[in-house]
Order: sequence, then structure tokens, then C-alpha cells
Amino acid sequence: MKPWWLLGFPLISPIDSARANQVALSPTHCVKTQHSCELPLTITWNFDQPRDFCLRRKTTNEDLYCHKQTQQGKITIHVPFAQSEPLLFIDLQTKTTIKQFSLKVMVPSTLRKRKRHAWSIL
Amino acid sequence: MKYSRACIFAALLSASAVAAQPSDQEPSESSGIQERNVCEGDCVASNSWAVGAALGYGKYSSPLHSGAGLSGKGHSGQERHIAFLPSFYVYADNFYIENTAIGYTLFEDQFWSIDIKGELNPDGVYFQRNKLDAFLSTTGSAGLFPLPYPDEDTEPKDIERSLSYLGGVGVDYYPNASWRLSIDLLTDISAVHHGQKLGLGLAYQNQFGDLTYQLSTGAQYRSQALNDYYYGVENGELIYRSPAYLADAGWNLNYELNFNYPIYEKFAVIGRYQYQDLSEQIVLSPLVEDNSTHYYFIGVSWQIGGGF
Repeated sequence: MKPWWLLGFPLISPIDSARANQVALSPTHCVKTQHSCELPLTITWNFDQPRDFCLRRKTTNEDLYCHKQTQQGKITIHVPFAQSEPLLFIDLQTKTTIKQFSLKVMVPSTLRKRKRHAWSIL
Repeated sequence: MKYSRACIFAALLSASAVAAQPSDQEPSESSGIQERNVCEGDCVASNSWAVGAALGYGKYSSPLHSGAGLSGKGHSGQERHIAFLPSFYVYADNFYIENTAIGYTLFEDQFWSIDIKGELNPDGVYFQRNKLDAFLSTTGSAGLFPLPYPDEDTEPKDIERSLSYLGGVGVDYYPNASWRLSIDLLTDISAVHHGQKLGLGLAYQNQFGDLTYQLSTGAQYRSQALNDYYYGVENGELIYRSPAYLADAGWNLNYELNFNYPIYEKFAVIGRYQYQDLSEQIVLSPLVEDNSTHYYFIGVSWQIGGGF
């Protein structure tokens, strides 16, 4: 059964977003069906000059993907997420944050039939 | 008369259904969420709750005689004013509370729902009128919405009937998102009258823009024990040497219209009208003057809620 990842936020394309923001991540939302959702996470970057960068989990400092001396590119990685968490693009040379993203993990609410209800005296 | 009203109501239901057919869509197969959440129509999230209140104006009528046979005054059926209505629900995975109704869903899929359920029997409310009025009408000098207060001397005298709570099994069938057919078999679990009620219902719900509306009709077979407890009288119970009346089993019919129009975030304009035809066995009771009851309310509701 395929994992339920969906909702291609942001709505603008990753390439366009990368031009404006240098780096882009897509999607930024996933819906988990089991203990976690494993996203095919597409990273797109477009820098003015070659840079060393890493995509890092902010809470654990775990590097999810790193690339050295690159000016532009695009790659898709598969990363499991159990809960919503912030992700950082770090410039390894200056140790500064290029951009921060918030990855949202959503639990689908199960709907059920509503029983008879009415604005009444009972 | 009963059947002409039923025909008019059936025509209204049919007309609404025909007019709204294009909106009855099958769920998309492309969305994972929709595949999982098969519920269509009037749905609510599991493990959620909400509380709310509505302020507005409404009336409900009691079929009980306001005085004839008791004090000699002959008034028609009484109307009571309403300015405030509370609302509350909790839905867990199977368990639910919806105002005074409580239940446990044994089985539910896209088409069927089978519940063990309990609900307050409304007949007892007619005998608790002053207590209910004080709560719902917010009357009195400090009330937000002072409304006409019923005359104390028009109350039936020395006729006391208790509230009762019914419990049993309910089965609902949903042929599509708009229609619901239901059958309930309930018995008195409060040991008040030991009677039973069989309810049959047909409801149609749809949307017109943001307006959600529901038309429904139903019939309730009420056992002799239930009818006789509320509408039967003993020898001399009303006045000296007044004859006894045994209220036999019979069918009540009801017709309802509900609507909800959201206006701003948690606020909505809501309305409801309910008409009930009482069985001959009830109407012939010396306690009863009207052969029907009606209820309406229109107002603005506010509701908050969340998950747990």
C-alpha cells in the first residue's frame, strides 16, 4: 500500500520557488497512515555561486542531505517523518541558516456518521 | 387530514431530491483521504466534541388541556416561548453523546449504522413546563430576553407525570449522502412506565450554496404502557367522579424542516420547524386538547469544539 503523502504545497513549482528563494522543498505536508510517513522530498537549489549546504533536522541536528560546491540542482530523497518538525538549510562554510522550512505531518481524522441532531428543546 | 399532510411532505421531499441530484457525487477514487473517510453527508470527526448555544426566538406547543375539566377554563393548546437553546456533543470512535441522546455504534460503514442508544422521551416534558420555561426562555427581570410568561392558573392541576428515558437499538440505512432511512426500537429503561416505542424515519439532507437543509418525516408506534402512563387518567384523578381513560397504543406522525446557514466563523443562522400529528388514542384523552404539537425556533448559533 502506498504511503499517503500528498498535498503539494507550496502551490508554486519548486523551480520557480528556488529562483526566488535560492532553495525550495516540496512537498512540505504529508499525511501519515501508520507510524510515520515517508516522503519523496524534492530539494531544489539555485545559488549565485557554488556553496556547501546541508538539509538538517532542527530538533536532532541530523543531516538528511548534504552537497558540496554546487550552484544549482535538484534531487529527491526519501525521508520518514513521525511528526511535524522544522528543517534547516545550513550553509556549511558560514554556518548560517539559508532557509528554514516547517514540515507538517498530519493525522487524518476518521469521519463517522453524525446521529440525529437538531436545535431543539431536548 | 393526516394523510394529506403526509402527501404534501412527500412531494416536498421528492422535489428537493430531484432538484439536488447533480450534487450527489460518488467519492473520488484518487484521494487517499476520501478512500479512508468513506462517510458522506452529515458527518463528524471521531474523537471530537463541541458545545454551543443558540439565541433567538421560538415556540413549542403542548397538546395538554390548559384547564378544561380541571378548573372549567377552556383554553386551546398552550404555546411556550424559547429564547435560548444549548447544544453539546461528544463523538469517540464508537461512543457518542448528542444533547440528551447517548449511544454506542456497534457497526458503521458507508451504508449502514447499527447503534445501541438511549434518548429522553419527550412526553414527560409537557408535564415539566414551568421548569423548562425558566431555563429556556431566560425570562424574569434579569433575563436577557424577557418573554411572555405563562399564566400560573392555566396549568393542569395535580397531574404529575415523570420524565422517562428510553433505550434500545437503532438501525440507519444511507443509500447515498443525502438520504437516511431509520428504524428504532426503544423501551423504557427508567422504570417509569415500562412502555416501548418503535420509530420509523425518512430524512433528506442537502446543501444549496452554504445553506444546509434537511427535510424529514417519521412515524412512531407507541405502546399502550407508554401512552397510558402519560395520557391515561384514573377514576377521579381530574375532578371528583371524573371517569377513567385508558390510552391505548397508537401511531404519531411527525414532519420536520431544519436549516443551517454559516455567517461568520463559528456563528450560523439556524432554524427548525417540527409538526407532530398525535394518535387518536392520545387525542381522546381528557388531558389533551390539541390533536397536534408544533415547535419552531430561529436564531443565531455559536459553537466551539475540538478533538481529543
